[in-house]
Amino acid sequence: MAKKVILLVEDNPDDVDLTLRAFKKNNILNEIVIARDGAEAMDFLSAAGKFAGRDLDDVPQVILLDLKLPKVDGLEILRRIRSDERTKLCPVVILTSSKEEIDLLNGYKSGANSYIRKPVDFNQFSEAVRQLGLYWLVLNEMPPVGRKV
Amino acid sequence: MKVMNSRQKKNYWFWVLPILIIAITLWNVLPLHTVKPDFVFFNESLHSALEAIGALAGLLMGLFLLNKSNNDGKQHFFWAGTGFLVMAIFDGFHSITRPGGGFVWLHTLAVLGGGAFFAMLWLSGLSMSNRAEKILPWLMAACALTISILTLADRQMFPLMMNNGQFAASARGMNAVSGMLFIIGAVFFVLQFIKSKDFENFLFFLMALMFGLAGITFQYSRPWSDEWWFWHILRLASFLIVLGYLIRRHLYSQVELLRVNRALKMLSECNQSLVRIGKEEEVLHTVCSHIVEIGGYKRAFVEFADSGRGIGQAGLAIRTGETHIIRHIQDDPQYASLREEAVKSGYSSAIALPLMENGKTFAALNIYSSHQDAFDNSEVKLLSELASDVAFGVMALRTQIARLRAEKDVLTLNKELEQRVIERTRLLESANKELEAFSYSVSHDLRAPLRSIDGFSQAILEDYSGKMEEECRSYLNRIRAASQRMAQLIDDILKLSRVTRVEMHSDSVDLSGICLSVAAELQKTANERKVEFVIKPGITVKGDSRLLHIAFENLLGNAWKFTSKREGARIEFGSMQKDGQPAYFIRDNGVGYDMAYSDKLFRAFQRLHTESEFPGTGIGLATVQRIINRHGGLVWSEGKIDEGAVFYLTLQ
Repeated sequence: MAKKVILLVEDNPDDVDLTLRAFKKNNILNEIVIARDGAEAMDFLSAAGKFAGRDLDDVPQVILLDLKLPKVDGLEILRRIRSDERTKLCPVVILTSSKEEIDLLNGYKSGANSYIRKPVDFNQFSEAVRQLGLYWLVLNEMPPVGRKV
Repeated sequence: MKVMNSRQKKNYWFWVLPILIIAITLWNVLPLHTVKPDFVFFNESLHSALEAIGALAGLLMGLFLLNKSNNDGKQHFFWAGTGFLVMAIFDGFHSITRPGGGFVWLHTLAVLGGGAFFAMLWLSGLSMSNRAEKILPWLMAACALTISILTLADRQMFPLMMNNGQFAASARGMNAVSGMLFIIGAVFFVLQFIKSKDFENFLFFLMALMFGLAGITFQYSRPWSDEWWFWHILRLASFLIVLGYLIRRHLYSQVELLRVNRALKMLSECNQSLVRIGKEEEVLHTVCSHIVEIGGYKRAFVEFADSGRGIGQAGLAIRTGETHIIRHIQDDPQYASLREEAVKSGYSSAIALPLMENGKTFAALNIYSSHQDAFDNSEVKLLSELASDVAFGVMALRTQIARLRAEKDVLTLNKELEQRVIERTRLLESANKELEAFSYSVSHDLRAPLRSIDGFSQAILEDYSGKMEEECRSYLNRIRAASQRMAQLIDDILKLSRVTRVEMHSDSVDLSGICLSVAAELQKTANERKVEFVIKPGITVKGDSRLLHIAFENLLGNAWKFTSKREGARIEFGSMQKDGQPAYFIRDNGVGYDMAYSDKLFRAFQRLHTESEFPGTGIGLATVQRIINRHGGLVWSEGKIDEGAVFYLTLQ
């Protein structure tokens, strides 16, 4: 049984802290791997850089992806995820500030499973994270990840 | 028209001729035999020849005059023509009879018939039916023929004219009467001549006078005597005048025909050039060469008013706008300064015709002829016509050129405008792109710090709640509320800008349907509220359904909001006519507003109520206005405090 890792791709440290806090508050105890920019996220996906030596078959349970990222933007990462045989089916939730139509469209087109706009009200944000965790980590049946399809 | 050097000398010389004729006649008949040879010359064939010539000339003249009276409607030619016809028939028979066989009788009939009709010239004013005018001459001719033939057949039927080798009294009397009748005719012609100055009338006068004198002097003559030959010569002279007149008429008409032909050809060629050629200079050059080559003139050129020369006839024509003619360059005192050169060039007469447009002379057409006095009335008339055609052609050409230039200018301007539109569109597009990037940045980046402020405030409240005072908690809550409101404001600004930026898709939109669905949505947000929605069914318009949906969301949302404290709240959607255009309205019976502030109503972030009274950021009506404006419509409202508000809108 693979570890149920959550990958959080988020460049804003405040948002990282607040997201972690929301997880904690909602008793989501899964290991959370943080990629602080697009390049780090790419490294994670190819087991390079600071993620060298990582087992690539160890696919995250869910990826929380910000769109606006330094170096490589969220959509690019999403497309990379979807082009890799191992991560192709991995659930990706876009978690971003933007509610622009174009972002929504491009997000879904590139293969996002869900799109959540971060509310300013922390209580609402916390609630969103709770529901997200409940859904993707508990309710949702994962595809047979890690097996060659 | 001015004629320079018009010869004012009047010609009186022709009066000498009739006086001379009368004098000779008197000298011949009065018994001044001492200075006049007295002889008897018997020559029957000479006499017959004279009479035959006369008869032929008379016949031709009669037919010519009758034809002319038909064509020109000159009635005096009709009478004269008939007279000539009758006279010629009798004279013709007279010429073939021998003395004794109605010889004098036929002559007497000839002069009597001719005289009678010449006297009838005075009846020229008389109106006659067309038929009578056609028949009478031929009836008379038939009578003359009949009488003549009867005379030849049986001389005894008619009175004798000779008595003992002398003319009988009846013959003398009848000839004298005929002479008087001719004189009466002569008076008619002389008066016509004085009145009209037409030389033709003078010739006729001379002719009638000689016929008359011949008739009167008949009584003083014996057959074959010198007096007798004299009045024969008078008559012959008359007939010769007639013949001369006829020949002159014929030749004149031939020459005239040639001249008219030539002139018309010139006019037609010039007009063709005017139509065919597109350049002014070329047109004028061609017209001038046609005038010289076809018109037969020595030289032709056009001088423009602004060329500054203005000397000679051209300058006069330009200054006065009148045609100027120099009939004789050689002796025209006004032409003295230019004469030498003109004569050297072979010019004998000249004309300058003004080229006018709207009564203003802009140039003069100058024509020189190598003949003296080449420009008579008909020629001037024709050349004037040519000048007016040339003026019209030149002006038409100038107008056309001006029009083409204007068209070209418009085209250039259009191109420039198009280019400018393209540039502006490009600028607008880039501005829009910038705005979009800005909006995106705002939505993304401005919210992040707010999340931190709110999130960490909440974190403090949660983690350190026990360690702080109530006031501190309240402050943190206020920080959180403020950051959330700011987030709301950011969202609203974005909404407003999106309404302006979003692309329009025009389609048929069911406004009633939109209102119903918005009303249902609103009802869902507060189930406990009892609001009466009155929505007129079946209202459809042309527009962007998404934008109109947003507009009605705002309008109905406002109505919903501002009736929240009202018992028996009522919200109505309907349509009406405003200035012949359909208008739509949303009416509520909510708290209303003070019309004094109505100008602030549609401005972004302007509110007439406090946040605590009614929540909102003040973006709704600004959004509505932008949407309606984008539809080319208008939005306005009426309101009264505590009575409600009505929002009207029109769409293009």
